Amino acid sequence: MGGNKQFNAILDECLERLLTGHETVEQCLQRYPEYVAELEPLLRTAVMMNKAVDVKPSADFRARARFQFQSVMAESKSPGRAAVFVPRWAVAVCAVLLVFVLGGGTVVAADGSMPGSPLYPVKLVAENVRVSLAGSEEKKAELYAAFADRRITELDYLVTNGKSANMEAVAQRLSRHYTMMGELPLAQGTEVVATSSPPTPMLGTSGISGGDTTEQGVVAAGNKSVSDSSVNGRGELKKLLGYYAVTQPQRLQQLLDSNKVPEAAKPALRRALWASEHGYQQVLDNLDK
Amino acid sequence: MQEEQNLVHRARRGDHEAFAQLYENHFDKIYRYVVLKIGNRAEAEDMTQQVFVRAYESIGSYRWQGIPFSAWLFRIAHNQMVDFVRKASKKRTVPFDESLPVLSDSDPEHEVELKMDVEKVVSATRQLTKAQREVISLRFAGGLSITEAAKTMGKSEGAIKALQHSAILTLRKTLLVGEQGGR
Repeated sequence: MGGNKQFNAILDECLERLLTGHETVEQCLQRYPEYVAELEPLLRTAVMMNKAVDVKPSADFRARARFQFQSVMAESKSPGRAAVFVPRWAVAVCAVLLVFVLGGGTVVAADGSMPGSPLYPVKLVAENVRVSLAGSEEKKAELYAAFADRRITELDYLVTNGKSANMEAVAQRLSRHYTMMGELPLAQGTEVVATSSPPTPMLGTSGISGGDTTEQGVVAAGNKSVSDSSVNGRGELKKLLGYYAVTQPQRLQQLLDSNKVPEAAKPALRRALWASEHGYQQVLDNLDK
Repeated sequence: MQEEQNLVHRARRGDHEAFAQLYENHFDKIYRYVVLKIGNRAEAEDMTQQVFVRAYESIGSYRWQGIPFSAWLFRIAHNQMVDFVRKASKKRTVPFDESLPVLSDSDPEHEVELKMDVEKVVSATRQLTKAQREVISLRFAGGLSITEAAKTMGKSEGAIKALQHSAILTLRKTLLVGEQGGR
């Protein structure tokens, strides 16, 4: 066992020098003559593999990828913005100020606003506050999923009403919800803070799928899932997320398949679709752990 | 290392230029890693882009606490790969892509020779255990050191060295059998 350990260390030392171009196979073998028989075939295989995997992205892909990535950066104000740590006390103070300065009615009214409306930023701030004050990781997962549903409803509204200017930003925000949800540490043993009855996630509000896409109709449906939503235990949460895991990608796919979405907004929507599948897969896996 | 730490610090504070620099520093390595794991160029290109978009979206959650940025980035790539393979296995098997990635050597004869090698290596790595394959991908394609690979995989350096040894041994046997079978 000790011998094996020593050999592993020698092999790695030689590999390190070989892979960084500081030594040849022969030079390494000269330093360890007692291991030549065992070492040489492994080092030759490693050299061959190293050559084989030395692949480079094509110039075309490199340029395309760089351009697309720069567009992603340009679309968002700063990287990982939603994930930056904010102390809980600061959030609580902001929440109180928000209600006092704007008045409780304004915050409630903002809850139903759509992108482009003057109250829409208030709605987003209020959502951030709710996530930050959530009592558990499970509650945050529930909120992210519900807010994601809101974003899809907003996208639907923008498409149906021909307001494509804000689509990319909304799709980006949607992707961030999924990313944040997928990264929640949902270790077994933490209980969901129980409140009221299980939610009734909305379905069929999509303009594409033939629902009511007037602002009032969309808002009423889109916000119901957040205000009513509270689950009792991990089982209920899994059921809810499992439901969203099917319906949200479906709704995004419907949007993408429609001919109403402008080409410029499609990459962001595709990323959101991918993020939705990945985010739900991750959060459900984490809940199973 | 210090320079990278500064870049990460700036990127977390919203500096696009700093993130763009991190992107440039790691793009080729992530691409190579993904190619070796997937063996399909089109999928590897999409996946490489997704890794960086994901990293960009999550940089706020990254903390420099003994885990190098590269290890964090490869973890993202690994997680996406697991997801990809899971989905691919539900739908179809992932065939090895005949249209190979562009090789670093521009000599056409050499390219043909290397093309064989890439195919062989990707196919041979399928004989490895998941952990062995991960070590080979991180070390050879990703260019990570043993320490970085250990941090990425959450294992000890000794365990990574042992996996590396057994993986190269298995690859050699597999490649030799393939060589003899091909004659």
